Amino acid sequence: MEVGQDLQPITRTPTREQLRAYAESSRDRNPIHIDDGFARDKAGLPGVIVHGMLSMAFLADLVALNFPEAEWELCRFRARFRKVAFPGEALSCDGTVRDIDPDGLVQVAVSAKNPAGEITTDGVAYLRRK
Amino acid sequence: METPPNMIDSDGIAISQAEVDRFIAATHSEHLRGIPPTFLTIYRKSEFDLLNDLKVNWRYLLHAEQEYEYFAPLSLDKEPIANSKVVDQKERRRRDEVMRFIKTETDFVIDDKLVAKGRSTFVVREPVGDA
Repeated sequence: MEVGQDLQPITRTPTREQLRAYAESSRDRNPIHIDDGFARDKAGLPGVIVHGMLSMAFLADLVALNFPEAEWELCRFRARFRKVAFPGEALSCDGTVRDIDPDGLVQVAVSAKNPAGEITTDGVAYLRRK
Repeated sequence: METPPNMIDSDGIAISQAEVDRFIAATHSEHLRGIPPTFLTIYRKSEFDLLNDLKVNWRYLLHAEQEYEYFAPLSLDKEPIANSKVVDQKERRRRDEVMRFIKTETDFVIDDKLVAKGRSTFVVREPVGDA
C-alpha cells in the first residue's frame, strides 16, 4: 500500500429494475428515479436518473474490494454527485490512494465515470487498519 | 409544491439481516460483507421532513453531496434514531431560476451513543415561475 497506488476497478451498469429495487430498499421513492413520465414532464430530465446514493454504494463496493472489511475500518466516506447518471450507462469506478498519514489513516480518492469519461460521482474514503 | 407520496417510511425499522441482504442485493454489491457504509440512507426521514418543512419542491431537488463519519460499528437488531438539522442555507437568484443550497447534518444514535454523523447537501433549481 503506497500513495499513488491505483485501486482494482469495478464497473456497474444500473438498470431501471435496479432503481426500483433500490428505491424500495433505501426507502427513497422520489419519482425522478422510478417514473420516466414524472422525470420528463415534471422535472425536466431526459428520463429517470440514478440515485446519487446508489452511485455512492457502487463506490463503497469498490472500496470494499480493495480494502476488505475484515482488515480495514472505514472511518469516513464522502461523495459528490457531480453529474446525473442514467440507467443503462456503464459506470467505471476507480480510485487512487491519495495519502497515508503518520497515524496510518489512508485517504483514497474514488470516482465513477460514465461511458463519455465524465465523472458522475467522486469522493474520498478514509480507512484505518483494524 | 409537490411532495411525492410515501417517499420514505423508515420509522421503526431495525437493522435486520433481511434488510441488509435486501440492500446489498439492490446495490448489486459483490464485496461488502457486513452492514454497508451507505445503509444509513434508509434512516433519512428526519432529513426529508426538514426539507418538507422548508417547502422544497421535490421535483427540482438534487442530492449534491453526502458524507458519513462513523464512530462505532452498526449492529444488527438495533434501530438507529436519526436527528437532523439544517446547518446552512443559501439562495442564488438568476433571471430564470432560483437555486437553493441546503446543508443538513444528521446524528445517528443507537442506545444513546452517537454511532455516525451524516452530512448532506441538496440543490433545488426552481424555474422562477414555480419558485
